[in-house]
Amino acid sequence: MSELASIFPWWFFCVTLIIGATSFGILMKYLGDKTHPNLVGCVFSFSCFMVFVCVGVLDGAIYTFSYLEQRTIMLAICAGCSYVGVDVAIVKMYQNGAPISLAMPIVRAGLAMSSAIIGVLFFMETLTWLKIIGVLLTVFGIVLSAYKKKKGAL
Amino acid sequence: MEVQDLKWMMYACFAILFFALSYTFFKLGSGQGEVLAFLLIVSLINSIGHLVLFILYLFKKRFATRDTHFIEFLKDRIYLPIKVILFSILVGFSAAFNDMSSMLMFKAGAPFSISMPIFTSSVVCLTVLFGVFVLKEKLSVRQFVGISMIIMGIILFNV
Repeated sequence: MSELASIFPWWFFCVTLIIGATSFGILMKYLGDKTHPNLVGCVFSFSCFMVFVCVGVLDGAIYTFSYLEQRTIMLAICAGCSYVGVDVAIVKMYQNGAPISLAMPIVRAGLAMSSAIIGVLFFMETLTWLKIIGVLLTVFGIVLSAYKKKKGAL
Repeated sequence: MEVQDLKWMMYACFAILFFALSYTFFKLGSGQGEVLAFLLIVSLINSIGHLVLFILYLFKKRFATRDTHFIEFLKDRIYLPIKVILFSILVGFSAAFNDMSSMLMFKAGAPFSISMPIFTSSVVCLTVLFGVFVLKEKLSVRQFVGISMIIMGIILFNV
């Protein structure tokens, strides 16, 4: 699978990432209306696992997995557990009537903002004035789009 | 703000928190070992996690409604119409596509400061367009201005 990275330019994967992330957000809206979010999550995460297994078998990489460090395995387990939290929270969010055109910008903006904060706190990245203005602009944008005026108010 | 709005916003906050955590673990784990092995473990743990939570939910409900027949009880709870199964598989495919693309994008040498603003703002724009034009959701001028500010903010703090 890694060879693909040397065949295609990065913007190709950026386009596929945009398609994948957008369709993920949209399809989640249709799930969990009648069924339990964890049951739905179980089906889709297992199909995701099966996709990786198929890719691994077709690619042949699955037969040549080298030794994985314990730290990497722990990180993968933590990422998997966090994904469970993401899936449940998104399905529950839609079950509570979140409109997709408002909820997804808020989640994505919150993610980008928290990534900037995590980058500064844990990865020693620098916080520039542009970043601070960006964070403030995003917070203001979220408040502006999420706050509802009372009926009859100006 | 209505109680229902507060509820979905609370879940949105949880989604942000867990999203940020998972991307942090992805960043820490992507530099070492096989990419596919890492993704396999992540998706396996994800499905096991959902299964465990669903079994716990079943136990909780079973204790609450002891008098019903066990098979009937399971039939009521394990309700998966074909449409939901198909959508779940599609979500699984898009999630796999998403994870593989992000790993390969960085492996192909994508500059973080250029690729992330393009990615995040494009997803926001496409989702808003889908919500407005396909699902016929209504956006007020204020919400439109707010979303434009969110996109500008995302671009600014990733520059």
